[in-house]
Amino acid sequence: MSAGLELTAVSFGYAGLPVLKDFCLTVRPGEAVALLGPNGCGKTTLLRLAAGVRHADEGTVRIDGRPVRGYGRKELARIVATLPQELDVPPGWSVREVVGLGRTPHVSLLGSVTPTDRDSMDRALDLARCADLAEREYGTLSGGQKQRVALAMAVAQEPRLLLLDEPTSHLDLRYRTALLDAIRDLHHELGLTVLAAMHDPTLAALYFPRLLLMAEWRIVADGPAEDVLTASLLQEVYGVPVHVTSDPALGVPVVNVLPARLRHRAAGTR
Amino acid sequence: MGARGTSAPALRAVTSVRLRRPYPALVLGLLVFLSVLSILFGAALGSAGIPVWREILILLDLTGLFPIERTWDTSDAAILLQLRLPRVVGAFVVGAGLATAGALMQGVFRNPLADPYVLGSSAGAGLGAVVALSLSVRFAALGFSPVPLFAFVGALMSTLMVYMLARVGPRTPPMHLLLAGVAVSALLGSSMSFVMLYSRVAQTQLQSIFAWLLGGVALSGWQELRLLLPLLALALVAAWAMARPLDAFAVGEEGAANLGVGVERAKVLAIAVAALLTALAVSISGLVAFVGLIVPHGVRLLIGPGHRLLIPSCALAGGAFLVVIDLLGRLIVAPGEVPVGLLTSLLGAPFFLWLLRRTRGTYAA
Repeated sequence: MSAGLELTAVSFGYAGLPVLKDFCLTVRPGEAVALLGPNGCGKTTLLRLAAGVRHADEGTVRIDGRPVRGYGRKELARIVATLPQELDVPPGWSVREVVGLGRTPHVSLLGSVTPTDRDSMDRALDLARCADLAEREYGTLSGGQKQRVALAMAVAQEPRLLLLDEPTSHLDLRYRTALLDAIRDLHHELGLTVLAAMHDPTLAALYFPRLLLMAEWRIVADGPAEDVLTASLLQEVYGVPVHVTSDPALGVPVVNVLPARLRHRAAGTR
Repeated sequence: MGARGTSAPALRAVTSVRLRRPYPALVLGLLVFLSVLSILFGAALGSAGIPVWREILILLDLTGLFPIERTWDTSDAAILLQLRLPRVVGAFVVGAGLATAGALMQGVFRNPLADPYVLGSSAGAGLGAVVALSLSVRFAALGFSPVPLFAFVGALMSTLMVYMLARVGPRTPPMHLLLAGVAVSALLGSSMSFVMLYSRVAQTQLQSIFAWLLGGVALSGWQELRLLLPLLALALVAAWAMARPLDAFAVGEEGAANLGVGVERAKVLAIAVAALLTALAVSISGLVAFVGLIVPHGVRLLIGPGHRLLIPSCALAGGAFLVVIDLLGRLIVAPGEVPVGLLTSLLGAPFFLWLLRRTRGTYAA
């Protein structure tokens, strides 16, 4: 129940400005992959191409071996769901109604919501851990609650490939952990393929077995956190000195930025 | 971003209000009942009032299914069937059209301030109608009035123009939409005055054109309604069929695309249907402002934002609303009458300003 994603020699630009060039990437079915890279390096564009919202200027994007262009819109929306950074909904919508929007690609134009749709919505609310919020107004929720509802909406789509666009960047520590735990559970229980653009390398290392480091238009490093999160690679890509250590208890890389004031101290340990 | 810090107990108490939605069948049943009631009273009251019970008898007699003794004057029946009912049904069409057009525009533009009048569709339809009137001699051969057709073309062109002017890359900021609407309305409004001042045909009927422009429901008999009613039904069905894509627009255009909606096609379709509804309304009663704003907002507060229920509810509530306003206009200065357009502006302008202030935070440009 998972879908693979494959980009071959993809180029894309907005109004002539190249964002991706000759880009290749394979995400196997059932994998969980984090995308890292500076702002504007093309992470969001990559997700848009994978969701079929934009189409590559050159090259091919394939899902399950089939070119994205060959899918109907609804058909694609039943395979791929996207969780945005922030889901903004006009006032007056209840949480259940927002989650119900996830059923859009499954219901016919004039048909009403079936028991199958209701079951799917209930399950999505449970899986995203927001069943207790179902009757609340979406607009009155906190940022962390909103993101869980947005996740429930994506789950109600019953996708096989879940795309996440920096899903935790507006959340505090607690909600960050809760959301990523929920996504990890989904990945394990439903066998979803997950591709997530992430800001925080340490967080990516904690949750994803495979990391991709992007710089302008291309992939700089691809592999487990230990190989990708090295001080020299990160410094090259982000253009600032960083300090990478290994968490003594968890054994995963921890990336710290280096304030100018403290740089001399880290220099000794590099 | 919405409210943060749910850890504060006081805040939680305030925000944990549950949204309760009424049963759709109940809502629609009630609105159908209110619509029928408004039409009955709208037709019965006024100068030379006809008691409602007599009106019901006349209408039942008309069906030919009941053995009813005719105790009324034939003049009563004639006033009712040839003067009052067409006018009241016409007012209903205007209200239903404008309210549904408003709901469509608010949904597709994600903008609570969108409405056929604010976005310049009414002005476009008005210009189209005036042009049609000034050409009417040449079209007489066609056997139907060209007014609704020209009004539709005008409404469609002006709405598309406003939309394209307001668009910035992939987004349509609410304030841009309003400003473009103001500018296009002004342009089309003065073009309309120009045609009225310099067209010979228009000059011979200047007074009736002015009365129509101010939003007077000017219908004599069923002639026009024979064309407008089927068109209204068609447009309402089309609007209702768009309910799901419109719902998806709540999460933004990109969000809707992620849910499998063909965004550009849905937008153009919604604009076209809204333009048709606006044109129907404008060809009956000229420029009636803010109905497309007031009614959808009131209905949304009662039944929630889902378009499958919102669209038919707006059609019914909008129709009933305008019938009542039209009735008020006839009663307050009887035996004269105040055009509906004047009354809806008196009610709607303060409402618009209130809405503008209230939504300033959430819908910043």
